[in-house]
Amino acid sequence: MPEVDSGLETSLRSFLNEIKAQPLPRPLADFEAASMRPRRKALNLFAGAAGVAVIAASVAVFAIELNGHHNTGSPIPGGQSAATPTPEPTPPFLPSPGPGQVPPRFSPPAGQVFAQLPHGPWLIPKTYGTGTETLPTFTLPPNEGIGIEYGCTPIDSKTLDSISFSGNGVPKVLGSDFHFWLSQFSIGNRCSGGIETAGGTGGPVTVRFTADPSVRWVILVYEVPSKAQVIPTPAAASTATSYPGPTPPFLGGPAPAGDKVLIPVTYGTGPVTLPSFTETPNESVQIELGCLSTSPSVNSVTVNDYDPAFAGDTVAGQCFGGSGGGIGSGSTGFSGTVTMKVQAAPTEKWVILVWEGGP
Amino acid sequence: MISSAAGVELSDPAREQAFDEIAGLESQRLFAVALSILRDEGETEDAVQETLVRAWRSQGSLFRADSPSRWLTRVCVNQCISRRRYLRSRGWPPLHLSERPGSSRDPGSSADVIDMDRAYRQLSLKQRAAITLTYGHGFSVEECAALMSCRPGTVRTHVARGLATLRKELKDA
Repeated sequence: MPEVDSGLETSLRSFLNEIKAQPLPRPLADFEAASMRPRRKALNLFAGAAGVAVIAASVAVFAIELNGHHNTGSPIPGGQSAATPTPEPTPPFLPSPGPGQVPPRFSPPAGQVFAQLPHGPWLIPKTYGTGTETLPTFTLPPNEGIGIEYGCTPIDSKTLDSISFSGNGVPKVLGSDFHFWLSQFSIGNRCSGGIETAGGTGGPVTVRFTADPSVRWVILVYEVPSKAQVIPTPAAASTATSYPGPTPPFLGGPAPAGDKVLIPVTYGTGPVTLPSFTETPNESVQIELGCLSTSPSVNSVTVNDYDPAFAGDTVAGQCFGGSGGGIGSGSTGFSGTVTMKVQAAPTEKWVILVWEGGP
Repeated sequence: MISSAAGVELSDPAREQAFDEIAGLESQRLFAVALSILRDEGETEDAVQETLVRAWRSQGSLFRADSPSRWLTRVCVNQCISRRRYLRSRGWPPLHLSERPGSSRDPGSSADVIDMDRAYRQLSLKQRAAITLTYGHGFSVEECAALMSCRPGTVRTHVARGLATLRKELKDA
């Protein structure tokens, strides 16, 4: 075990103990398999409920957007109570009152709020304001995402204070009328945080800070370096055959810029042993897999950790009569040669990308 | 019919009761593990529920395991890590969105805890998993490696890098 100084260890254990002391949410506390009878039907319901839960988590992020269409009710997502009696922390971000762009004083210093002030290019430089204001429209380049850092004086969780994006350049993943509800991402009434999005087609974007007139705030909007690379059309090569018919879905997108691609985007049909690659010590191998079913029935494509040295996930892409995919990762823990094998029905079409890096 | 760890055949009602007992005993601990890794209560609930669903579907493996507790922990840890990858693969960028600055039920209010929380969120999921399993739940490096499906050396690396990041972030705060 790496040595750790006692101060850090004490703080860390204290932090983890506080997490352990958090009460179990009621839906989990009430979890009972016996309530799922009769078995067959219950299991389906159970699976359905689990599926809904998974979707719900995905949709939770979109709840922000949905709240934008429903101005009633709490913006706090399910399972989190706005009335949780959390002692009020010191507001970390306290722009001082004053006209225009007078630099505020912070408590604690601003450096703690913008802990990692992003590098440019900035779309909107650090801007101070009060209440509701619409910021100058900027043009987002194609494939670039939007990043924001913000802070404000304490907010009331019952109000719908938000940062919203509008315009043709808003990345599609956010929808056309995106609202970032401050109370959802604040501890108590503490108000500071950030968001980064994926890129889109680019275009004009307008940011609007909506808040009670008593709220003073500061915001910085910056361009998120693109992680979107154009997937080249497969060339005639041993590992990339032209793909007949509809292009299979490529769910995870291309490898992040700067990461080492171990197996480039490779299209194939049926079972194939992929070219071997050598893994860098202590790096994670990320696998993305897309597939396209050739029949209305459920088919699957699987990537096996063919090499026993590879301690990672088996990636399965379920093809539900049209599309599907899977992702996974793993590592050998040492520099080793890894060979993976795609297992699929002879007529099953698939596409795979393997790279090194990521979380 | 399935077998318990002791090799005793369990009838359906007994199986359900045994499962309920295990779920009841383990849910709180799994919730703490998952919350330490994901730092988002909603995602944590989903991860734990998915873990229990998988356990229900794989009762044979669960009851045959030498330690159902570790079996569940392993599934839960992998669920937490793969869940984020799943969301990212779907083009969900809001890794930061759901992580910063956290839910209203995040622990603590002291400046130390808030600073630690902010620093902890800078860690990768695997670093969080390695640190929480070793420092928060008392697993050895070897046990942690088994739970994370990697080698002990990889766990040590995750822990060392995670601690270095915490040290740096707390120093800069």
